[in-house]
Amino acid sequence: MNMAFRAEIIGILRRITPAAVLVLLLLSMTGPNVLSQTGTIISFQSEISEELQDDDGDGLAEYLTISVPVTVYQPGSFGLYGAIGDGEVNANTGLVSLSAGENVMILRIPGNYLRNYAFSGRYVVQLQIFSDDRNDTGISTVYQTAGSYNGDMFETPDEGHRTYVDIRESEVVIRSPSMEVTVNKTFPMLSFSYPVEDGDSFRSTLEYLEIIAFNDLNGDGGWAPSDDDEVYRASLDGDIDWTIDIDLSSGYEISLRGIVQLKRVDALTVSAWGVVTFTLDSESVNPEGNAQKFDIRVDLYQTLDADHIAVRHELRDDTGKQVIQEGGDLSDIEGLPQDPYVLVVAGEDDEIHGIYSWSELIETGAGEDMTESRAETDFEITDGRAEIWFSYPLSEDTLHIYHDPTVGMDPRHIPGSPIDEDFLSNNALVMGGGILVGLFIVGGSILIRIFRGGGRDQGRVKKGGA
Amino acid sequence: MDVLSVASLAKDLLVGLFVVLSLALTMIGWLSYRKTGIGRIFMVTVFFTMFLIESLFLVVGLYLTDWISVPGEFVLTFDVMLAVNVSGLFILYLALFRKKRERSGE
Repeated sequence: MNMAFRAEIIGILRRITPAAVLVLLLLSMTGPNVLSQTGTIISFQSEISEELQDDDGDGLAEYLTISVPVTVYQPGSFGLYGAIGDGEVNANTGLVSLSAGENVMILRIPGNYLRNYAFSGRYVVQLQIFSDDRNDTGISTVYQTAGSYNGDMFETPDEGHRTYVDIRESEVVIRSPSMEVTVNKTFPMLSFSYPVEDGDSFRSTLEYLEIIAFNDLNGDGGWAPSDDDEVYRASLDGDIDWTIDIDLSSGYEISLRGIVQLKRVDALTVSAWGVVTFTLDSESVNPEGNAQKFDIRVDLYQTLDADHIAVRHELRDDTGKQVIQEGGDLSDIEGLPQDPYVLVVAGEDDEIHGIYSWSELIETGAGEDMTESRAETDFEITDGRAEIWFSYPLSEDTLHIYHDPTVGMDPRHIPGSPIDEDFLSNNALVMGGGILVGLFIVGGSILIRIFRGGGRDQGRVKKGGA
Repeated sequence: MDVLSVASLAKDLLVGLFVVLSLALTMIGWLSYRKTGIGRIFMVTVFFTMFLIESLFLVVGLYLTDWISVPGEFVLTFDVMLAVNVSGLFILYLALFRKKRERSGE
């Protein structure tokens, strides 16, 4: 009896096990796909769609636009990356600020990529959402386009809508529709301006000058030369051999890296070492192309006997015609991170051009795992220059520090460019008016001629008759 | 109204005048040639026809298609050149009457 019962149970288990596995598999596939380590932050919705974008109406699409609805549970900055094939065709939205609730992320794949890809049929697109939190690994899904396409249906987008990387002898230039960022290859300095012929009239520069490790004696969290105890100092414009890495395999990633010798102030023969890296990448340029995040990363080779490390840098106006101000009305600029700290470079009538913004959220850690922390930032503004301090707290084992401020240009005040050149309008009605005036002149003169000619003829007849 | 708008209106008006004057002179030239058979008049008629073609090209390019777009920075040059053309044709047109008066005065 007991044996029979056991056999029956085993039989039942054998029958239901495949079904249970199948159900679990289905549940795992259809369950919420979320981006978070500790809870749901964002998830894909199911109604992804695509359409061809033909701006010039010539029948060839400049972009394949994929609309991806997402549900955001925790507001933040998110980006969408899409790849077709083995990543041969790829595009991303850059980081955009999304509020809680339902949002739609738009991914635009340039037509020239798809033309070169030369694949006919329905594209399979690997979609991945990433966030500005480096601890999030991202969530992904696969979308197969509803329509079938081939390379001949696409063309290269207009130059005014693309981002270019131009590698020059001493600098790298990133040119997006609304902004041009120039990264110096041999010095931690980047300039930003409008991507137009007279863009230099609005050029601003961010220059990183030195790093100071200090003990915060006054307890305010920031570097105060008169109050705090300076322990180490390294000039970034000294004998540092800066190297630049340019990775263009997927968008762009440009890193300027230098090994820094932090000299102990009270014993110059004693030093600590670290690596400072400044990175700009295409994943962090916003869709409107008017803002670019860049990462500041400090990796120490050993822990420091100081409780803070500060990066001193300078924002300056290169034109001599603009001033630097704190804050400004930037709320209606699309795609600009709403950072709490903002310095703007403004021209006449307080017209904003350059923007430098940051939050005090940073990440610090001793190894691979980084934890969220908070910096203390301070700045001092004179007319065309602002000296800025980012002070990062160091714990006993801190080796790595990561911070990501933003540089941007105000797209509302972009000057006229060859792309958006003013052309004379053509008014056919006024031209018709010109024709009428001409007809009046010609017709009038012919009538006068006929009238006068008739008069002369009559006179001749009269004279002949006499 | 800004300078660019005024320049645009001037251009439109001048193009209209250009069409009518070049057409009138071409027609008068052709009628004169038909009447007299003088080779010089034929040459002058061809000259006026060239202006007529230019004016029609402007009308088609500017108003009927998007072949021609005049950049804002080129506005002064474009309007001056057009005004010189129209003035030249207008003077030639006036010359027809002057010549007639001289003959009638003889």
